[in-house]
Amino acid sequence: MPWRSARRAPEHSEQPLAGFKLAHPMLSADGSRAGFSGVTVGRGHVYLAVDDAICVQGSRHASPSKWCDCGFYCFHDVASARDLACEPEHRNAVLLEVAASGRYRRYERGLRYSRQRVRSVRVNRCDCGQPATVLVDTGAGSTGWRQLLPTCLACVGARPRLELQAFARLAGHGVTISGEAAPADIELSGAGQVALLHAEMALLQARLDDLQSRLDALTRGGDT
Amino acid sequence: MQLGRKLAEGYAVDPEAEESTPPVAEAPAEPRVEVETAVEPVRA
Repeated sequence: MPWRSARRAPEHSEQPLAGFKLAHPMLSADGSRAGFSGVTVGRGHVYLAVDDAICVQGSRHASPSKWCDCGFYCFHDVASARDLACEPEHRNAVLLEVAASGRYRRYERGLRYSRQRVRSVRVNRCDCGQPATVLVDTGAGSTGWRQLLPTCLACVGARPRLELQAFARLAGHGVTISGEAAPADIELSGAGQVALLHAEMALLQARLDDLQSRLDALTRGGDT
Repeated sequence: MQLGRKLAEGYAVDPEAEESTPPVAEAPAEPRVEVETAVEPVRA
């Protein structure tokens, strides 16, 4: 019986492979370049819109390596990236659509690869729920790079801001950027409306009780 | 980022990434160290 190798021949594609991932938007200290930092393995490393992977463990081997967890990572589908964005520590991350190329290792849910081109950036809403229209300094970062946070104009305050389109221009390479649409008014069912009205009435009642007790205290104070 | 079981390896070409990235400089060669060894004179 002839021996057959279980090892498959390497795949080859004349086009980059599409993928989705989360990242933090970054701005260089001199404000001249925009980049991204990873949310998991490569969180301490900043990469540009088109970049080659390096070993973030400090080794000099080609990345990705069979013996190391370094390299760019992405999911095959956008839903997996959105699932990851539900974790509290990733709420402020942006969603990237990327073109993966170079040497790659294909897994069930995504890729680990050597070269990446960011195609688009999708920005989450501001913490207040309104669409984010600018990026502000979070106060976090790494040497030479400030980490940015998508924010709406109402929440910016006096902090320096960077418009979303300005970030895309600094990133270069045709990167596009977009934000979430304004939250639509949600149509509630009859039961939902009743529950909402009960909650509002309870809140009003609590405030009335508070006002009444303050008024009583003032009245008692006036009597003496 | 959990990607599941590995299925394959391969290589993909991205002409847009190739054109727009400056050539990567080669890593500097390791400094060559020459070690002098004392050679004992050999008497015939």
